[in-house]
Amino acid sequence: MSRYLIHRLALSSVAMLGVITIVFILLHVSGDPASLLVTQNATVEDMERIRQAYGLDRPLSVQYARFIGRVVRGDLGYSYRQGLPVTELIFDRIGATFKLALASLAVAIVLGVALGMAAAVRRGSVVDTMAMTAALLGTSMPSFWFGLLLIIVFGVKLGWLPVSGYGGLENLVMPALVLGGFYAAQVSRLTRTSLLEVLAQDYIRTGQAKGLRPRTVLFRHALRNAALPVLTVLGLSFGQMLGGAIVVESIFAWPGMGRLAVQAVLGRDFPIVQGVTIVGAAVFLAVNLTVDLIYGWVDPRLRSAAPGT
Amino acid sequence: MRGRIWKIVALCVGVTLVLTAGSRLTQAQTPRTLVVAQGVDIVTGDPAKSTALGTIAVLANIYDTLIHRDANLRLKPGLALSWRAVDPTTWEFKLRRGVTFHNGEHFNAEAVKFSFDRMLDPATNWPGAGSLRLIKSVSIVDDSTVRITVAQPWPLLPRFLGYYGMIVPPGYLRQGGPEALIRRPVGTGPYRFVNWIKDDRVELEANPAYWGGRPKIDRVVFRVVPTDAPRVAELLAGSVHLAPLLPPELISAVRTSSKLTLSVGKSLSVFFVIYNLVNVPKDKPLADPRVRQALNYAIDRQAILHSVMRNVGAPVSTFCTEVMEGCDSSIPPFSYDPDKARALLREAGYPNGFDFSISGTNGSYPGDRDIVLAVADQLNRVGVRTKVDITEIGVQLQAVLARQLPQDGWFTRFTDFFGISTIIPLRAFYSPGEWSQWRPGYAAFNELVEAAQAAADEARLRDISKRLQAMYKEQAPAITLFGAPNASGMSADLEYTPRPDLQVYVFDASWKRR
Repeated sequence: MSRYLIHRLALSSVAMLGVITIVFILLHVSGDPASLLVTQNATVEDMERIRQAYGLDRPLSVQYARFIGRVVRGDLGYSYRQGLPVTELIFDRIGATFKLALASLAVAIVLGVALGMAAAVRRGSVVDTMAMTAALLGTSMPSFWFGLLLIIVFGVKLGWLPVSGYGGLENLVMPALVLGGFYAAQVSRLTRTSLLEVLAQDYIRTGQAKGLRPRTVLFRHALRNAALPVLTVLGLSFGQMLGGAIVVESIFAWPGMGRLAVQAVLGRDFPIVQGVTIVGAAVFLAVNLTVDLIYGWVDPRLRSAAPGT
Repeated sequence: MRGRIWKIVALCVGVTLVLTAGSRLTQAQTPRTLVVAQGVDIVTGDPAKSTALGTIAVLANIYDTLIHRDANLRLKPGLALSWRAVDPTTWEFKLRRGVTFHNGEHFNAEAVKFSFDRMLDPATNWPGAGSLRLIKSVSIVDDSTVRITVAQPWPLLPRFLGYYGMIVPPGYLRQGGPEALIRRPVGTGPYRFVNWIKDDRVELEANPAYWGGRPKIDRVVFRVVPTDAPRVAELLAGSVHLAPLLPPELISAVRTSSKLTLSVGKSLSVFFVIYNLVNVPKDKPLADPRVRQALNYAIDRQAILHSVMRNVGAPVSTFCTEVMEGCDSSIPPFSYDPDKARALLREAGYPNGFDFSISGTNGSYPGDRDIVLAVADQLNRVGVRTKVDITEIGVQLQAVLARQLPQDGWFTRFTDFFGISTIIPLRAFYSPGEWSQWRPGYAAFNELVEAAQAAADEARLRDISKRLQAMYKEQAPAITLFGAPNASGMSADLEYTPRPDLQVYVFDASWKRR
């Protein structure tokens, strides 16, 4: 298991280096940050001064080497615009990001698994059609549209929920529904397919034949085996949610990492873009690793095979 | 399995609740709290680190400048009670006595010298330093008198100090280190800093000891609502009381609501389609001033203002708006006269028009894409076959700076927050200037722009400005459009007029009596 972990971690570091390098190159060929740091009221001297101050006048290879050297030491640099350490700026938003991602994950699991199960058990019935129509709607509705719709109905017309902003549970309901709803749609379709496949297996028929209660067959035997692919998708989705739900954060004025990243990209604030990418990639890789470990928890067959891998 | 799924759900909900518990405390607001929604957060709490609009709008409540400006940009005493030019290159400022910073530190001549030295020190990297580069030194005469020495006669210095030059507490910075103000701003202004949740809100409370009197509104929250539609939804729901800089497409939602009012302020920004006149060959249409004028006559500005800008904004005659110092309002804007446009084109030898292209942006300025498309449509009607290229603004500005814009026209906006009519020509049309696309340009115009910078007094400046405007209309280096909109949506019970410089100066706001 530990060899497996080390192998995975080594692979992850290579992936990280790849991500960092690609982001660095793309950012530096996409535009001059100095011309955007200043407004049209600025003079050429202002811009030149800024280029020098941030080392943007150095050759790209020197900037890259310095950057990698700092990252290895855990220093993500200072934001061009805000003058604060990038680690501080990311840390300030990570709480909000986790809060939204966890709430959305809960929505995705509850809604997605419930709809998928109902559809699979009542295959071909009205319940199935309705559940899968809901899933289709969930995947195809653009989140900014769904978000604005919720805002108009529950925020403005009914006044039940705050329109936007960061704060208590009531602030979390609409963004979590929009973000989690999107993933719930995918989860429900996958749960349905996966569960139908398992329900057709011989051991399920054996279970039913020996007189087990349908509930026991479904929850203890079928769902448990159908859960593996669902877990993989949930893991990937959670990684994406943590990486920043830009549209949902922007609509609901949620102060998460996605907005930090977008503002930084638009303002060519390279240190922040690089920092968010590194942290995002690290979180994504960590979540995937965790999902792999959860596999063993859910599926004893994998657990017993683990020491040899 | 079911048990484990529920465990995961319970874990998610549990952690969410724990994370939520802390932030609920910041939600408490009394009814008298004014909530302002801006599209952007402050970049920093330190005025010497940024010139970003959304940042200055908030910091203007915390810090004072030596000179203040009223809502019509007339200068009035700020931290300086009076100012005068001792000689052409020395200005003396008499300072207010008995003023303290929010941390209790005394305001005096040393704080002024410290603040200016810090702002202008290249190591500070203040993006606005270029505008005050004529300042050579600041010296202390006595505890309440300072002198600013400038490199050349500069009668406009007080106007610059009405916008730039926020005074910071030297002791606080020495004690807390150079980053202290970034996280926790401390000034002498009408509001004290309370809290900043990045990308969410800045909370301020009234400074009861403010030298200008206690503010009428006790608490202010500047919320960040980045998307336009939810910002207006917040207004409609009553959870936000003031939303500055409404985008044109949402103006009617505010106009039609009985709970809201639309308040329109004067503008310091002008929209142009600036001609690409970089080494333009003599045989090309744009080399002929008659062609450049013709395109101005082809534009129905009122129609664009009506359809795209929802009747907010006014056509401008030249490069300045009426609120800018020295802008001559007697000069009429180009009339909408397509016949005259066609006649001028015929006269210049283009009876069948010519091909023309404009570089525009989408979402960088209010209404930008729609304005350019409307302009193109109107030019097509007089036979100028116009193509629009929408580009990301960073790419566009880079091409402009390198003088390699592939298009014939650059749709943009120029703003002068100092409120001086001769600054936009310097930035946008003075040939040696960095943004100018008029090269080699027109020598007489360049000379006048230079003369404006060296004008010995404001009367001379007004005279030069008038001549510049006449020359601009005749040479027409751009299609001049209109002032950028400055409209705020606000609760019907709030009294406030948007300032031309876009500062959200809450000291001027009050609740209407119910």
